[in-house]
Amino acid sequence: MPKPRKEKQNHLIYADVVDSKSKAGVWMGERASFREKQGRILEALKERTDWVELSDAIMVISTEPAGLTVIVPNPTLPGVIVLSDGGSPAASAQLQAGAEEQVRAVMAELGIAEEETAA
Amino acid sequence: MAAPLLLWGKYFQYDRAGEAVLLDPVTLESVLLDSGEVADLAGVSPTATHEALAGLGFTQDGPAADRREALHNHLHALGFDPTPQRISGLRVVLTDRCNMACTYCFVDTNTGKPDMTEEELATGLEFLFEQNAGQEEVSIQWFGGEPTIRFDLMKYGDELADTLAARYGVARVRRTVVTNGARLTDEALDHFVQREYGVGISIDGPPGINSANRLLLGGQPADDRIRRNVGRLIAAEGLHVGCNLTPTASNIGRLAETVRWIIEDLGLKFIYVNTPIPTGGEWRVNGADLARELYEARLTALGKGGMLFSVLDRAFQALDTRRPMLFDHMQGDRSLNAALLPGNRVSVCDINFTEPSFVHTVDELRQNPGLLTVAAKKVAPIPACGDCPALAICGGPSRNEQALIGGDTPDPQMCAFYTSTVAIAVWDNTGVQ
Repeated sequence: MPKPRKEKQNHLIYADVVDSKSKAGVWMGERASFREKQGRILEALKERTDWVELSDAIMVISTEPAGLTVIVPNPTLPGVIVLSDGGSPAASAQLQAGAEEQVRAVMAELGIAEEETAA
Repeated sequence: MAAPLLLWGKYFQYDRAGEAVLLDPVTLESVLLDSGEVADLAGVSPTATHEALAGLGFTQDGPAADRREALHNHLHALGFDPTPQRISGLRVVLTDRCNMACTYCFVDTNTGKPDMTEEELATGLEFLFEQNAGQEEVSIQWFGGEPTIRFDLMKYGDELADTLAARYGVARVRRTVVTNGARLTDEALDHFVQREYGVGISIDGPPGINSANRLLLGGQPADDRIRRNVGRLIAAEGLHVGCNLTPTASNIGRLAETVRWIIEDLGLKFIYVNTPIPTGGEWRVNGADLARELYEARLTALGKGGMLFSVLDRAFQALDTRRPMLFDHMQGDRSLNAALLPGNRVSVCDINFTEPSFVHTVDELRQNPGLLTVAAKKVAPIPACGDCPALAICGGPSRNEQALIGGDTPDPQMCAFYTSTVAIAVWDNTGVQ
């Protein structure tokens, strides 16, 4: 099924680049509150979901292809979770494979053996 | 980056590794097809993909109207009007004196012309506040030359603005200053903190890059001085400090590196990349390269915990929200940022202080608000705009671009820039932007 682009009204920080306000000079009145809002959202979500705390998670961002990869230590098992979103199935798969390969390469450099998972 | 194909005479099809994105350049709807669907689309209609696309509004029926006409109809339906209604912010050009001589500056500096007087500043601010009586906010940006050379006028204007805000019922005065950072007195720093200024420092990059185009009047670099002053600004509580970065031949090709330096070395987390202005009659940077570099630089900034904004964001915001983003120099509420110039003059374009059609006296504007229409963008002015995927994102050259390049036809590098931003943005809907 063809997939319409996700709608998004709240860009990282509201900075309407159509406005000449932001064309030169610094206009950061909106900046202060977004992290606090994110925190409130997460606190509210914790009330509604079963969750585990993640520590040392990183989000890798790439441009070729464009996308995000979240790499995080599995909080309960001896492994590293890799989750990629490249905006399309092919791009996501490419990012996922690339990131998993990087995890393997780092493990090899550190002398940490990979264990085959059960079939 | 391959040029998109035109599908059914109205949609742009971007292909990559077997997948495709279809873009309606008028409504800004876009849809991703996986490789199976791309193959299916090439089959004899109607396939399941044709039917699914029709369900999403992507139909094979011929275009109902020329795309430029369709865009005008769409803008009308959305209530978008290019005509400004009032001036809500002033870039106050206190002086053309500057302690630096940057090669690309759009202002003629150190001409010997007189600075703004207190009386002229008072007249201009009175005009600004009376135009905005009862409004939520007005903005004042101190500009030059180097505006801190006339810090006395900044102080005077800030105090007067408070009085005028109370008199005209304006809830908030947003204050910023654009400075080269090469001079910062303790008194000015205290004042900025007290008035919660946004301070934008113009820097092009590390010393090797910055000093290519940005030197003190005597020809020596100012990088050490600027670094020291940036440190003082960052250390001050309550200030919003950011960097205004101008793409030049010296930092193109090194924007990501430049951004890394600004964030890690200089400690500035907010970067705004200025849009190229064709001051010499043309764009001096390669548009496609600039788009790609801005994209990479933005992600570099995000990865370092910083933020980078540029005109590239137009494409992301337009595609994400399905709203055209084609009006330059005008806010969403149809108000303008104008420039207050010495001699009781106002330019309705805040980045062009000399074009005669933009410049009027305060009295003329007060008596005839219709003069603001000179800033109204002529959307998609040439037939070629109708064939452009960036139709509703670029919308053609602004009035200022037209004045500088001498006509309706956009600079080819500007076209390359905007079409490249679309080609980048259609493939990135990951939401981090």
